Amino acid sequence: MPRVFIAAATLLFVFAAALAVQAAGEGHRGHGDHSDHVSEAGGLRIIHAWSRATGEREGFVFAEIENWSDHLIEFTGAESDMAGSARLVGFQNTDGKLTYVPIPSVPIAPGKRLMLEPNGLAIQLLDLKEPLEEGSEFIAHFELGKNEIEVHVEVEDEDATSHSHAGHNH
Amino acid sequence: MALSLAVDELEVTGEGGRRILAIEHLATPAGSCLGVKGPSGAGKSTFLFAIAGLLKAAKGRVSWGETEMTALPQGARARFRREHFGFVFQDPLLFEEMGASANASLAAAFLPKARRNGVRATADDALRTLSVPGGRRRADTFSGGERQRIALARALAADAGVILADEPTASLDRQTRDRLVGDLMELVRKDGKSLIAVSHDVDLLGVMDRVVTIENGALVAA
Amino acid sequence: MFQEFAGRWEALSATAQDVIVLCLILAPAVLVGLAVTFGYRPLPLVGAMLWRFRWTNLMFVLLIGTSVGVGVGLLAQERGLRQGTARAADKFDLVLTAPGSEVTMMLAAVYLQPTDAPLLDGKLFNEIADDERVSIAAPLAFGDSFAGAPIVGTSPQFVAHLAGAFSQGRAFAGQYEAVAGANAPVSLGDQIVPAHGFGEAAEEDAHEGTTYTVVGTMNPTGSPWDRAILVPAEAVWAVHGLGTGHGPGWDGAVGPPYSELFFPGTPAILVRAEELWANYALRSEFTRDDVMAFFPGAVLAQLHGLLGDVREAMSAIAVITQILVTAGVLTGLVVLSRLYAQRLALLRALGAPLRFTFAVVWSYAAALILGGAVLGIAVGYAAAAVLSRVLTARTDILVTASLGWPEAHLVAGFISLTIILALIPALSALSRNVVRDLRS
Repeated sequence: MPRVFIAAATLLFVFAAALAVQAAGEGHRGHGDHSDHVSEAGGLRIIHAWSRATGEREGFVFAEIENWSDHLIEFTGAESDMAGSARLVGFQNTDGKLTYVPIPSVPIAPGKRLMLEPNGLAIQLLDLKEPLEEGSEFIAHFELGKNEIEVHVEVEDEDATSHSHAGHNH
Repeated sequence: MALSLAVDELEVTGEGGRRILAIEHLATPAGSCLGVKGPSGAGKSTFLFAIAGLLKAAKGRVSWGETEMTALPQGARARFRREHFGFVFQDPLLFEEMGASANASLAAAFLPKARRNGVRATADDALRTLSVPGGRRRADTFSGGERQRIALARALAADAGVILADEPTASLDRQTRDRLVGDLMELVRKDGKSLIAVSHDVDLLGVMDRVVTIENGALVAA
Repeated sequence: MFQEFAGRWEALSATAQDVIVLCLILAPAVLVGLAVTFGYRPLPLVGAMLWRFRWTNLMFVLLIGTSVGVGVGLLAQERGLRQGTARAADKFDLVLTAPGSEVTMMLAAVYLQPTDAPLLDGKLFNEIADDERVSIAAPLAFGDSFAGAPIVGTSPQFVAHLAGAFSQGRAFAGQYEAVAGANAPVSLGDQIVPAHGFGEAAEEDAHEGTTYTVVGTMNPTGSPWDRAILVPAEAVWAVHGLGTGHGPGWDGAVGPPYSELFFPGTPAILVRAEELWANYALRSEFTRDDVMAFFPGAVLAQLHGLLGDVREAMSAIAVITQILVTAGVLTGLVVLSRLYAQRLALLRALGAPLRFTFAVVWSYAAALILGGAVLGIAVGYAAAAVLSRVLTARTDILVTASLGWPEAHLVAGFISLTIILALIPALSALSRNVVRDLRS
């Protein structure tokens, strides 16, 4: 009996792993208008801001931030009219508990980029005022040093693992 | 409280509308003992179930005291039974896994809380009078005579004014039969209850105030 | 209105929410129970029925208990597996490997599943090791084994990070010293000769002439590292004829810094940063064409997400099974209550209210359902405990089964649903002909 269970568990794990690999390979979908995918100010570029569709009161914003300026910039978080509050969080494994924990700020060195992505660093939206609908867009302001940069956040599928334009060079 | 019984133009039909009982008129005063005899299958038990409101009358009236049983809906007939009737059947129909006391005070399970203790006390009194040991001893460990006496105690526990008995002695041997008849009559007479007993037992019929005969579903003139 | 309610709900602690959800799920069962039995004392009669049909009842309770137990055990086991795999990866904040499959490299670096992996060079190693945000950068050089236990070449810093204090002995200091995981097949003082490769393919005599001395045993970590034997990376390199990773004039002290020029390469580097945020910055900066940086926790979360979908499907099947079994049992009750029909008819003759007779049959069914549910919790717990032990023994990942709120909610939902279904046999007992049953 235990052998059957182990075999089943192993199969499940292998199956899940295969799916994960496959899922990671997807996410490069159709083309479209790029104009809103890049926000720039003060030598900073924010690319491909996106979020997952959700009906919950909590959501996450992901993006790529590039620092083309000549000085270190502190990334401290974001805000949006969509949410009661927003904060910078990082995905953590603490004694087997996989959760997002608040991060006060992350410095971005000149010439470096910072990726906000699922199960990594992210902007957590709390108290969402309305559901995030796939295909819609909302505005968030990223707080980077003295700059507050307006970002158009595209709402992707609820299971998306990356922005649907990820992989393009803008 | 003992009740008088009045039956008028009562008809009970069986499957397919066949008439199985037709009683033109029968009346007994409160506190009297009525024996019902007749051949097997003549309708004696049907008569008993009909006057107890367990069988619906096709027509006619059954009245107990001021209450016309045949006019009551099912729920009200059940309430009337639990307030006024005690039953003894040929089979004691005990809950074998429960003790004598619990069987005798069965009604306490569904009577209002205020009456529970009274029912239990009356049941235990009756068991004592009938010399059946109470307690937790399972009902199926008692002898046939004792089991029927537990059933008798159950009939008396809720202070019913009317005892309806269907062949109460038919399953007993001669000696226990005599004892049960004695016990039954003593307890019924002591409190002035009404008794209607369907029976073949000449000894039981012999101590009734009045005996009627039912043949082919109808009363036969005495 | 809804916003206000939702706000208050979120303000509650997780336990308070779980308790409230449990109460809400159980509420229908409790309300039906109160409505059916209010004012009556059906229990002695129910007890009599339970005893009368005790063997059949036992069968029914076993059936319900087993089906509930499968659901409970499945949920508990799945959570135990998730927690166990995550806890085993707890020490691995960030892992650097050559670009490829994160899943494969995580299985190799964190769970020590053998794989062939390209190597990262000394330039890259020093780039990460010299980064001021990094507190530990340790090579993880796997590939050799002893008696089926993996031998991993690494640095003393990693040994200290992985297991903290030693249960016996000390960390390795000399090039050919080794420390053993808590369950490794070696003891303090053993001299072992490494085999090249793993399992069937291991070449036992490839490294003849090399001998490690076990100088310490680590505390348990609940991970596959408990079966591993850790040696200095310098030894693994030397055994494979690749030098020591240090330049000429090396003083023999194992561990970094390594020479960029003489560094033979490592399939994986464990990185631990001083600050939490630095992990994310490092991952961003070391995700490039020549190197891949990943959080094992994030990869696990992705896998767990998929496992979660499988769990949902299996939970649904478990629930359906439970309901079918209970429906079968309730059908059995209809038959059983027929055997009890004469007693139930007696109650009706004595003038017992309809609801009382109904309450007796319903309570009887409810007792079987509750008994089965309680047994199910026990069966589920036992099954999960046994399975956890087997999994732990086979994988070295410490999997512990514990019962949690999801199981409580599952069982509560089962109880509520089936106890309402139990109204059906109770109704069927009422529709019988009293006089016919009395005479039978």
